[in-house]
Amino acid sequence: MGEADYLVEVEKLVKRFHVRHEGRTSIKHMVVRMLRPYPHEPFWALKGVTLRVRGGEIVGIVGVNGSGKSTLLRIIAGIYVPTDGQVTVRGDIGSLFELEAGFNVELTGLENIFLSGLLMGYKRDEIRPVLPYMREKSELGDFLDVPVKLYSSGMKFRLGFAIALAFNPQILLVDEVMAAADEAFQRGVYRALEAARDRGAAIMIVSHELEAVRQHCDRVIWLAQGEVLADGPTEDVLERYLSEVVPSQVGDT
Amino acid sequence: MRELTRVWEWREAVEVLVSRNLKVRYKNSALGFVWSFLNPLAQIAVMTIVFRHIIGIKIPNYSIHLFTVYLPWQFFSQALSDGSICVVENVQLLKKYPFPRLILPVATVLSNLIHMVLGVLLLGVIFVVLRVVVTPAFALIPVFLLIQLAFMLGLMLMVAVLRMYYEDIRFALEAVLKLWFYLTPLVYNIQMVVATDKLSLIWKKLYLLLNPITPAMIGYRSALLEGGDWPALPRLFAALAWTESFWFYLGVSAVISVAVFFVGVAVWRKYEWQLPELM
Repeated sequence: MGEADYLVEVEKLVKRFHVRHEGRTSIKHMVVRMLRPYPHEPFWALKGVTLRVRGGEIVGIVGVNGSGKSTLLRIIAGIYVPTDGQVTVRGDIGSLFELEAGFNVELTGLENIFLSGLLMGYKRDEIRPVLPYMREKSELGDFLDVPVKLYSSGMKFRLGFAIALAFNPQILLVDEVMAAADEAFQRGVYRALEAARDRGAAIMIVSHELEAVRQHCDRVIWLAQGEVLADGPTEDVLERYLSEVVPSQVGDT
Repeated sequence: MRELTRVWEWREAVEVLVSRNLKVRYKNSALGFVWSFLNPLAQIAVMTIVFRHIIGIKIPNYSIHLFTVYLPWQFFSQALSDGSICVVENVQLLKKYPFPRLILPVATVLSNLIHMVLGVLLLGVIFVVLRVVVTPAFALIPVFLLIQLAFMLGLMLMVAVLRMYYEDIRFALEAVLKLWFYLTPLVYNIQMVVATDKLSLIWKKLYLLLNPITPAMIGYRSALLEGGDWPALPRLFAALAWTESFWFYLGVSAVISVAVFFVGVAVWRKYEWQLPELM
């Protein structure tokens, strides 16, 4: 198998966040922090992650909250810059992160599709032919002419998903948003993901719904505290994950 | 420069962002774009009554004088305050797509520029009605505008980044813009500053040197209303006669503006990819 079969290659990826400012803040807080001995507390979200995803597979990523799953997907998508290590991506990316991500809620669904396409780097002439199919694909019909701020979370999910798939990307990144869709639509989503896989796309799904992961993923990667703990066939990894993580979580509560 | 070529490559996205900005600004308002005429008209009418008729500022054609500088000023201050939130406002886009970040502030400047042009069309109508003579000096207006744009964009990039770290910037900017309005020759003219004996010479020099937007404002008005009769300004060094010319001060402001532009771009480049991590 040649190198080029891997659509996503992540090599010793390290990500450190600067938590020094705790998001937006005021000058008062800044002064308070400057008086502290260590104002710059680093947070290591990823500590040397190496993984590869080839075209034609659906890879599930599991791990408890804060294990670095979302950070990993965002670095692959080019949103965050790696602190160290290398990420190679071969092909266009379609992504589905938080529900609202990528939308301007004042614009209509259709306008959002257009804007998203442009921001993904497609030209107007590449986007226009796609638009007629979107009403049906998204199952939103005439709601595409309504501002997104009036959408329910299920509708936002539909729109986001339709946008992610609109340009037949070779790489699909999906970050635990499935819960927003009803069960029937979820089934449709997985069918669409499997169809994308069958035409050779590489798909990475972050999910806490282990049953869905078991059913639809060809391989599972387990992240814990920014490191790959296991990477292998779905059943094997899930079995270990269930026996080691889930009981301790239940024990905590 | 490479940044600007990239923005050009992404011009289709810039266009859509600009039209979105304009659409959202007047969304749900019955009068829509008419506001871009009504607002300056109302402002100028009230300012004329207050400053010309009540306070008694002796400037001929006072309303027209105000028009020539008020629109560029409005462009400056509105673009700065819009610019300070252009990152915060678009965080949902930043969190999903890795497009060149610079297209956001550029779109903000352009939508405000279009907004000003609408106002200028109104000014044009008034000029025609008043039969103002077009002089060769009009040709210099793009030069003044370019200096203003460089200064604005540079400042805006710095403010937009700072705003992500310090919420205070929003309030500070608001306060500073209000003071700045009075420290720039808008409701009065530069000849009044030069002539007053309440200010010592050193203050007059500082007034002119430290405010890079002032020479452009003097330029707009002199070009449009005085046929390029550029005012004489205080001589900076007693021995150097040429330092009293308008062009000298314009040159100084151009140098400052270009410097601010490059510092702004450098700050932006350092932080642009950290922006989504802050939210």
